[in-house]
Amino acid sequence: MGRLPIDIKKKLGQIIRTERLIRYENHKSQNATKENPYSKENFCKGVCHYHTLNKLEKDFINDSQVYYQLLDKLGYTYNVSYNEHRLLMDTLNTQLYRLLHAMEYIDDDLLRNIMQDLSGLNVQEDCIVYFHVKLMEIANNFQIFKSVNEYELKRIIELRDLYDGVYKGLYYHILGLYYMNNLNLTVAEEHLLQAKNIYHSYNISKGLINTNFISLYMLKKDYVNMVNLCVEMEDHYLETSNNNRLLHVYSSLAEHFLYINALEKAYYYHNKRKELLDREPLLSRFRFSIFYNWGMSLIYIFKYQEAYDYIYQAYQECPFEFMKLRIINPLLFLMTNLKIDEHLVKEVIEEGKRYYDKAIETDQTVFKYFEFRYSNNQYYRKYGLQKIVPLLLEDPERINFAIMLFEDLYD
Amino acid sequence: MEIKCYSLSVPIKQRLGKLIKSLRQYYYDDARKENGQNDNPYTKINFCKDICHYHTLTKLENSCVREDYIYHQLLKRLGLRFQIREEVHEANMLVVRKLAFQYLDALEYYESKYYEEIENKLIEVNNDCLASLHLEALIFSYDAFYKHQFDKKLIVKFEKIIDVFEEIYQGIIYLTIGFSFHRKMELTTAEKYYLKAIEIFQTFKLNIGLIYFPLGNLYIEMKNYYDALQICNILEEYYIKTSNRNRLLIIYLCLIDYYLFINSLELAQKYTEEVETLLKPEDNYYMWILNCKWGEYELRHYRESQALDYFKKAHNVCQNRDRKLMIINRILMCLSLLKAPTEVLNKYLNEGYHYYLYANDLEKQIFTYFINKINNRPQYYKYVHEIIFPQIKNKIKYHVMTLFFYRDMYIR
Repeated sequence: MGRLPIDIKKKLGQIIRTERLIRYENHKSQNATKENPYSKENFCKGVCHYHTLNKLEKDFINDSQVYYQLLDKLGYTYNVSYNEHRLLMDTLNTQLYRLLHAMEYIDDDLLRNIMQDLSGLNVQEDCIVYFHVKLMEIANNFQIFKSVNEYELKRIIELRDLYDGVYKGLYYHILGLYYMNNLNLTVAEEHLLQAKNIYHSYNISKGLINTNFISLYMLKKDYVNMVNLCVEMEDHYLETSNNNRLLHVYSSLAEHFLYINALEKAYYYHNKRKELLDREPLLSRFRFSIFYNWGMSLIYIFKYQEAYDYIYQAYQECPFEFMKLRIINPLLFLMTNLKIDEHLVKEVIEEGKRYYDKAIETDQTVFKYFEFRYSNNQYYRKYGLQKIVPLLLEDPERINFAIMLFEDLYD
Repeated sequence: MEIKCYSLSVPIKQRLGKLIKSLRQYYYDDARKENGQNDNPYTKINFCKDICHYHTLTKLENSCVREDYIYHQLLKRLGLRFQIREEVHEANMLVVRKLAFQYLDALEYYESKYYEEIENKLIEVNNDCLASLHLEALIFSYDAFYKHQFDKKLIVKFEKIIDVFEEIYQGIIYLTIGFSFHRKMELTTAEKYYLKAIEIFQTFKLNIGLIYFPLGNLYIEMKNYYDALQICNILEEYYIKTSNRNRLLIIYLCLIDYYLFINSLELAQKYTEEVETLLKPEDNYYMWILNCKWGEYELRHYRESQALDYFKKAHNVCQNRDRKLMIINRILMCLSLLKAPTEVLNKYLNEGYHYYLYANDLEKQIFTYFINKINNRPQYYKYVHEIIFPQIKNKIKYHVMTLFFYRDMYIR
């Protein structure tokens, strides 16, 4: 094991410091009174002086052997030559750009290939590369909505100074998404802006991060910026033939305009996304959720017949059994309100029974009302008033269903 | 009073002919409404009797006739006078035009200026029916915007004879008619008139602060948040730049409505603070609107107790008698849902009677519901289903109200 270059020493110093501190805190939380092996004094015992560790963690020291020994204590290795390290990093850089592309285009197949390629890399001997791979894995998990190990995420967050260049952009991007998922929107915006600036300085396409800003603005209810950005990104995604993201833009605009009662604009973007859905078979997985959400939004503006058509289509295309009853319930409300032939309603109820056990309790409770109602059970009025009305009044967004229920009971 | 036969030029004859025609038709319709098909003094034949031939009147109304005296006689029959020389009339019209622009300038800032000047001038020009009519239109507009007084007859009259007015006055009349419908919550009709006014004002290149001010609030009330927001964002910037506090307050109230609608409490709060910073103690008008908006928001979220607090505050400061019943109705809604004792409900019911006449039809009907319900008259069910529901059902604007009636009638 030879002498380490200064830039590598600085990165290893980062890893040592972060890992030691995480373990220190971890040990402290579990063994409050006991001596902590990860305190500075204890950790460097037998390897170097306390002050040397201090310097190593903050800057760098001359003696390379200290790095090797301290890494070893933490279970990490840096056992590659500088050239080997650079070669690994070059390979990783190629994968990084592929990853960003896959994220931008929501190309799940490409993501899978990248993850497979990364798992084939021998990173155990190079802890610096290892932590870069970890960063990319977390990015992948965020992208495919896979849960992220909080412990690993915390480690990555602490390793901020380990990452340079585009990796730093990805680092801030991930953190932005993390805070956004936790609805810490101000912090999310700060991180996403950092990422955006870094990506911009490396000529990374704006198509990668701007849909995250669209989502952020939606969550912040900053619809002015949301709409402006959507309009800008519509052109970009059309130019780059990025249909997945284009669908996201159209959906954001359609739902927003419907929400604020700008029907002409809402239908304009809804029709655009429908055209896209019909044209692109790869987008078919989004159909059910789009139709369901659109149908539910149409209920809010009293377009019941149209809402029924969409929700029925969503029901037919929904691949998840646990969701079926959730879709059937609004369908039954609408069928009742629209006075659709009772035979058809009863058929839907029979179908609902098949999914009853897989649904959550609230959906089951609502479904029961229709079971009672259409089996001529006299109890249905009492059940509606005592069980369903309070349930619907829990959430102001369910106001139309509450009105529909009252109409069914008393009109 | 004796009529002098001032000589009239062709252009003046044409304007007077148009005025005679429009007014005669207006009075004809009015008389027909009152007396049906019975003898109408404003048919062409009856109207010109003893003054000129029927065909002469037709010619006078559509172009002009040579004899000056016919104009003066016919005007007299309509209760009008044009007893001045043309140079004086032209001078009058110059002042009339100037007053229109001054009035609009004040209206942009919602400053109640020029009323006395208009009134004084009106006395001065009492021999000039054309100038008088224009100034009457300004008074009509002033009363509507600053006193919230709406003369239904004048609305019909001015609309019928709109062609007689100079273009800028046509804009003012349309704007005022739009405003009167807006106050009555007949929003689609209000929009139609506002747009007519805007079309005219645009040709005069008036400030955007004047041209668009009615639309922001109207679109908010129509729940057309897309157009409302576009207008409000532009006007917010403009009114800040022009230090137009009164109009800026209205824009802020519109934005508060929008942000409450989309549940963006942070921004709604931000604009509420902006309003509170700008408010002066005497600004009751803005204060009750602000409290009503927050009250509606709380009511929408089924927090009746909080909503009640806001509506009570609104009720305490509101001095607009045409809005009082609306606020009282909202208070009664909250109290009713909170199952308040009858004596508390009665207190507001008794107060509501004072404002009943000034409210719009829907608010009157809602109030009638409370009268019936609180007095245990069982017809209130039928009343809601047959009278109120047909007006409010399936309208986003009345979501909460619809649900209220069901909850109030059927949840014990």
